[in-house]
Amino acid sequence: MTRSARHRCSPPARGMTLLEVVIATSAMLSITVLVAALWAQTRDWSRENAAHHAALRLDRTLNLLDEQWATRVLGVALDSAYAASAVTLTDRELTFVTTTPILHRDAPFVRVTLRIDRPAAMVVGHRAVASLGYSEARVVNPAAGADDSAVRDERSIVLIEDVEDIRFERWVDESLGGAATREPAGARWMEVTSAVSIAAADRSDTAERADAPPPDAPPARRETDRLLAGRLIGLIEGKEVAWQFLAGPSR
Amino acid sequence: MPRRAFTLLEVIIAMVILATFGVALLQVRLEGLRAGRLIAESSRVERALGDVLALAQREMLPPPRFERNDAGEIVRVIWEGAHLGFDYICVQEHADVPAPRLPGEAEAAATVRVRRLAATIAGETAEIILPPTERR
Repeated sequence: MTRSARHRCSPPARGMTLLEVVIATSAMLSITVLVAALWAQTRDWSRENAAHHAALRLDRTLNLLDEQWATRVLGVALDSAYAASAVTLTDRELTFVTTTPILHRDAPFVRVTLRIDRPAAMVVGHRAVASLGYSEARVVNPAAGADDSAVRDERSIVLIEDVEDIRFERWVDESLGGAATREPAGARWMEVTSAVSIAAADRSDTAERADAPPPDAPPARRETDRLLAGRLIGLIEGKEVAWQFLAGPSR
Repeated sequence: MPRRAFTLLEVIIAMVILATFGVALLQVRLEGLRAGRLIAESSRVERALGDVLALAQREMLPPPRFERNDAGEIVRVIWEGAHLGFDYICVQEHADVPAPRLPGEAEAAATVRVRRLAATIAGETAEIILPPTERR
């Protein structure tokens, strides 16, 4: 077969024109850019969705805490270990007895502890991030003769994670008398530094002002030892979050 | 059997249909995100409103300003400030509301004076009615 005959039998070989190459390249480039943009957008949406989910979960958690606080029990000697103070607040913990259990559905009374769990080792230069732990134990009636830890069955969960600058604060009203501090007199929120408790005064706080001792009388109990109101405050995703628990009517 | 490729018109029509579906799906997704954002923000506003009302009821907000009538009586107490990152305004005023009346209590007063506390945050308002004598 001659060279000219081979040319005649084989299909005509043709390369792509410049226009075709440009169109194909443009199409591939457009698709790549579109996929990359969609990928980034989807990631942002997922992050935003997670933030909304966390916000709603936080709202439910705070509503639940509201309900537990509203149904707290004061002044009842329910348990030999707990009867001394029904509500106690320290710089790290709030403890009270409530009739709204979360982890012990069958228990009529549970003792609840909200605890700020800070990591043991903090990295210098980083903001303090902590979590809010929750513990719940059955309140045992000492008369029943079953006062042991197995019956109490303390259980713990983490309620809120990654909270910046979380702390307990309490409302101090030094105008109510008796407070001997170097701070200027007045009412304000102060970070909790020592343990305070709510006693029976919580149930009749309208009488507190009337019952305040005269200025010249020695104070039987310092006002700063009494918890009028408290709040748990912190920052989540840069937004301020607060759960306030105020003295008032209780069971 | 003759083999035929898609024409340019067919490809374009297919791409337009696909793009329309894609845009519709993206719109649904965006609406979902917007609704989620609104719900999250609304719950924050609702909590802030509840907090402000509870604090106002117990006189635990920063000092208020007072509006007086010509006789010098305080007719309105107004607290303004920020809570949970929201600006709030809380107004306390007296109002006369119909008195609850039991059968046979014809001589009881027709109205009773109460304290009305109304807090407004981001256009949302919540209010509570309190007995006039209630103090914290």
